[in-house]
Amino acid sequence: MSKTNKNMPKIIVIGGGATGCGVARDLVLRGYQTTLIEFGDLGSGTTSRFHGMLQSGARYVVSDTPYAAECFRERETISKIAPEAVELIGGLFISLPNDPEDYPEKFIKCCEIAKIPCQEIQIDEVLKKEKELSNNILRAFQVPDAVINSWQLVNLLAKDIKANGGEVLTNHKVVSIKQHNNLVKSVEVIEKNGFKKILECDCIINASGPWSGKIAKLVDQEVELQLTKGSVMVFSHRIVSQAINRCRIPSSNDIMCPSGTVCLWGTTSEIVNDPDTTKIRPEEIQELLIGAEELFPKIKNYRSFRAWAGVRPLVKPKNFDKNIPLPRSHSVIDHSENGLKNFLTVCGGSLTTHRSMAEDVVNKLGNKLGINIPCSTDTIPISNSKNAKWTPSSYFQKIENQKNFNDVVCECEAITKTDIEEIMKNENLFDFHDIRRRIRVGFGPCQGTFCNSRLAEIVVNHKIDIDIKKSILNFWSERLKGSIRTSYGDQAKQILLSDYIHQENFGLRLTEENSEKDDIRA
Amino acid sequence: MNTDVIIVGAELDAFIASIRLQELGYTSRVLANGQGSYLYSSGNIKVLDFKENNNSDNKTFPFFIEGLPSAHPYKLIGKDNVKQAIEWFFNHQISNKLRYEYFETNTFTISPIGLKIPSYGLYFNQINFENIYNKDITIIKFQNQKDFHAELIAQSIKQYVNTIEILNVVQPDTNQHSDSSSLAISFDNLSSPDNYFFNINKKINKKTSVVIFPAVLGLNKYMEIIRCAEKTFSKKCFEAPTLPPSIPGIRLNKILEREVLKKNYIHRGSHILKANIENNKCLSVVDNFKRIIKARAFIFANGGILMGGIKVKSNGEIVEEIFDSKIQNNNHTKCEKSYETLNALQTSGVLTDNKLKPISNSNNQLENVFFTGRNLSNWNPSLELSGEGVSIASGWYSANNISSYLHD
Repeated sequence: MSKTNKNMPKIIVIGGGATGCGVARDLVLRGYQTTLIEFGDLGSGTTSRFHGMLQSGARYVVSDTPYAAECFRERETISKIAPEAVELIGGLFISLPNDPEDYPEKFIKCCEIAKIPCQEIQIDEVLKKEKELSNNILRAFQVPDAVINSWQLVNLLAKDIKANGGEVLTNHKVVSIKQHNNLVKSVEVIEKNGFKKILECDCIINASGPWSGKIAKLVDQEVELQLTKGSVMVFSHRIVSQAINRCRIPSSNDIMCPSGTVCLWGTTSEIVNDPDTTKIRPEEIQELLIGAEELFPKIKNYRSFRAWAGVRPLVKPKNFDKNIPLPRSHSVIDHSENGLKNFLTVCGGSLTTHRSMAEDVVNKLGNKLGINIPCSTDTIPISNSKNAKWTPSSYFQKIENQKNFNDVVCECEAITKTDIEEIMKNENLFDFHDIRRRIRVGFGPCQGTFCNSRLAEIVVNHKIDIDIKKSILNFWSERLKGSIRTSYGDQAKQILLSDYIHQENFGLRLTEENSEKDDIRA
Repeated sequence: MNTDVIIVGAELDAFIASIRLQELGYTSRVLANGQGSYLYSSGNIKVLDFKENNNSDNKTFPFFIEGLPSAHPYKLIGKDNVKQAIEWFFNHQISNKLRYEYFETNTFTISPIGLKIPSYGLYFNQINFENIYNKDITIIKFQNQKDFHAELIAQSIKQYVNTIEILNVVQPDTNQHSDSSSLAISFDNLSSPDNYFFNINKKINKKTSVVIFPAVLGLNKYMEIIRCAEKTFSKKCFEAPTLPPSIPGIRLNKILEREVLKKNYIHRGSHILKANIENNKCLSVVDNFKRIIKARAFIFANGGILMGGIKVKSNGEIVEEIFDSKIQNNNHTKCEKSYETLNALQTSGVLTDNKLKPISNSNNQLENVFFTGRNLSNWNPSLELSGEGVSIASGWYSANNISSYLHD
């Protein structure tokens, strides 16, 4: 049932990542008339380009204790309101011989202050559980880390926004924002198919992450961000059963995090100017591998089938000191100080704290507008399925139960034709990638080698008019773009197999003209 | 375990070499880690996409070879040898058993998604574009068969045909899965194909003149089965390739394997770890069971990077570990674009002389070791569409070279 109220102001949220979706949900639940605008597909920016953790906060507990405490509260809340997107795997903080000796004591103390449950465990017990870990570990601490399926999360949020009367516009690019008398009046957007429209509004919330600066520029405003690119490597199989962190001040190369059927190792950190910088250099892969070897000596024997990079939007404080790490906590910028009365920017923070960020910005919006409706996103579940949870085996279990083995389209992720048809029925999708992001088809170790043409067959069967050659090529070249960065060991074989099937067998041609054009954000 | 030649790998080039050696009077043992890459092929023989991808003035076989770069395996082997090898293959009883049909030039087969694939030889009743121009076509699709893309083929070829329709039929054994292998086995086990096709015939449009089946009509009895279908329908029947694993590839593999096994041995699960070399001669190889296997000459046909004959290390270095051969490394890690990276990986490989003997990183030139197929450098099977051609030519040629080496 719609919760939005015709008498409430019209708010436009720009950005369809976790933050934007969180803000829009908060707005609709408080009754605001809400429209969310996203340039590409939901969660196709930074939201999907990170290591997948729902932080217990322990990672930042020494460097930013209040933020760590916020993370833990949010971890508790998110795992209650969106169990379908969360796997409570637990986490370990591992101290190695070359890590600072005094850090573990600080770590325990700060966890206590931030109220994050933390328990030291015996080394031999750790090694029994995590067989790939180095024998050199000195100390180990158990914390309640979790992982989150970010696409699942944003799609659940979007579903709830729509169910409560909000509007979600994906594949809509903001072209210009019209202002009059220090007030924003409307937003001009252009659809992927070239169709333009004007959306009127009473207020805008800019939640476009690393693109916040670009959006603010449209109205001659400034958002001071420090953009850092972080690269992540994906290893096939779950090498570890829980998130493994280095017990030291968070920096590069210190997390291994299981996610679905795979695990992710990250991250690097490199200052960039352009939020669209997602290219990975070969040296970064070497850097990541060397870092991973300290914790997992045999890591080079495992197949890494993909690497990606995302851009973190950290907020630059006014008196910015280069020697201390930037704070992770978010900030809300009210641009009325610079002459624009109804434009707010929310930035910084993380996926773990997206809900409290939303609560904060919508509270501030309420203060401005004199509307005093309390936030309810911390108690109302995002989806109704009470017993739902996200486990890597949930799709496999479904197939085992239904015995519909013939129906499996994507063997790596156990996605069936029925699952895909369901998605296509319910949503307005542009291309294969939109299907992939919703249902994980083509996500697994073979990276679309075998499911690409099957997917095309299903789409064509639904009388959707596509250019078969172009669609299959696009899907392949996009998957290839990430998987080719780790072309060593068994992955080199896999890439050539994929080439064998697509070029030698299917007769497709990957050329300069059609290679990598299909960037997710471009 | 006395044998003249050890062949490492179970690829097309390995079996061709073994069969050719047998013809020349030498025994061989095939040591294979697992299956070759047939499973991923469509079963047709691609020699080179010489109509489009070539600078040579003369665009017919084998003159097209002249336009290739000088280090290309075809150039090392030589135009006349390539011609002889390909003709040998198509005139051999292995081809006869599969009823390979070959042409003086490339013909276009239909790929699993309906695109054109220039091929030099086609297996028995494989569909090609000549068969469909302006015809009325029915494509048969078995229920739940996800690896045959009837819709995609229909969409892609509809511009060339008069009419086209897809007919969904029940598979011969509904208790079986609907993957290609299960379907092929159930066709082999079909007690009365006449009955089965009789029921299908009732549903086929009277106007149809050409019926296209997925290439799953049996592993062994496919010729009988296709003939039976043609007789029952009174229409031409063809097979179109499926997504791999491919049944025509398995058929080819089986025929080759049987031919090799007539006089020789195939050891599966044997992974070669090192070689014993003395005075520029390889005396024996050692496998993962620590067996020391002696021979007078060795062929390495273990499939290059694709099948693991050559390895890519995590720092991007490409190595051939057994002999530490000189490698053509085209620096795939430095490439910016995906298609460049792929091309660099494909064209990297072992450098050889024009007898296909590897050039060693040390100064010692091995006398009795030969490399073939995807192990070789400076060719790109997926861009040139020359995978089977280079395998046949290099397998045949290395066998000839061994023969003259052992004879001397």
